[in-house]
Amino acid sequence: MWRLAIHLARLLPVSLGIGALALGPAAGTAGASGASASPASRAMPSGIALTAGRTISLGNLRTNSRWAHANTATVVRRSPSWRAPAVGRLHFLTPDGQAEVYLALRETRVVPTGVIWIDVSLPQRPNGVTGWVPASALGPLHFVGGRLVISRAELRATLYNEAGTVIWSAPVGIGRSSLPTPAGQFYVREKLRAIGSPAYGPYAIATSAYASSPLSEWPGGGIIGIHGTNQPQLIPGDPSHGCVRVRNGAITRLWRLIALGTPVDIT
Amino acid sequence: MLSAVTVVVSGDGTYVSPAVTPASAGSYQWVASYSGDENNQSLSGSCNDPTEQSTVAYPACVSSHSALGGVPETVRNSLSVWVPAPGVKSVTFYLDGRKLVTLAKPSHQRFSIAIDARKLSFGVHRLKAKVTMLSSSCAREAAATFIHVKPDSLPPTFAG
Repeated sequence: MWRLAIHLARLLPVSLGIGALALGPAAGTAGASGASASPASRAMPSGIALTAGRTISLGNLRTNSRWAHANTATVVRRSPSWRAPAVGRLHFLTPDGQAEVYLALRETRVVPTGVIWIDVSLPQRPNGVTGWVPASALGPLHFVGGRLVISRAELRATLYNEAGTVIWSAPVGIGRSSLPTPAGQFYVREKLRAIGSPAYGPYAIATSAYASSPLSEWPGGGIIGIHGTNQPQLIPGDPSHGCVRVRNGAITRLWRLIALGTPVDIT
Repeated sequence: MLSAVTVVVSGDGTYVSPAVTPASAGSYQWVASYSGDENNQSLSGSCNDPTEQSTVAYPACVSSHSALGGVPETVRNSLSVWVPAPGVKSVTFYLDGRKLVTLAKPSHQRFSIAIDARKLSFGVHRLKAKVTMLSSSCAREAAATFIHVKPDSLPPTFAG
């Protein structure tokens, strides 16, 4: 009498070491198990070109802008491709333990995967780094209108609303010549009540900018903040280590008016 | 190996296995092997059947349930999350994969729980609600994440 044994084997990734089952080409396609690789790189056989579709601006950084928190700690890429070099990584928290904010600059849909990628501004050294992440790596996009302009030449900060109208303006203190406040396009990263630190006044606003030279004595590595002061007589002027100092009455009003994600132009 | 059955055979012919019901989704492959006897070698290999490799999807009743309410993007102290009660028999809440509680009685048309975030680590946390519907025993799932942040009243780490 002959006996025919029939087995039903579940296909598992080859990496699990069950090659003895001789699973063949289908082994890598297990649906429920291997989910770590990127969808694009897994789905596309080599030789199929992935091209970015039309790129759409997500804001003009003057009257309308968008930002988001991180949804996953994803690697940020130089271009909208899983194979592009890394330029950084998304973080959930700032060095102060607040939810990290990423300014969303533009988006594109990669053909033929359909994955939407978003170009974000990164709050890291060196200043000005941007990179691409899948849209799924970010939380919901938030709209913010207006911008803050800080003129180092005029020693004055001015807040515009989404209609382009000035809604706040005040003299400021900036970084001394050896520790200059950096110029560039930045944004509001966190809003803090600076309780227990008189040098910061009542409120502090973190930007995505970093001091030009590393300041090892500060745990956060030299984040450029906008904050109050216990030395109002030094404003306007250049008394700081790179931060933007504002008199306490002015920082209180600014703190109430300005929103997370607001673009900050330091000229 | 998910399942193995032995069919008694006698000479050339077509032999049919009994039906197999996989317990989870995935890709499955049938493998046939012949035990051999004193006059025949044993053999194992493909069945050459169009359904030799089959992909099993999750049953339709295990679907996503979008109604997990009250989860903010960021949390400082506490949060209250809920699932609307209409059509729902019970809800089991999970936090970072750990079961919190199963609720079988709604309150104010909601199955809701309060979570003290101050006991959690700072960073991202994942909430899940497994929802059992009144109409069937099928479960639905809803998930959301939130970021637990520090108090905003700490001395900042600015350049100064």
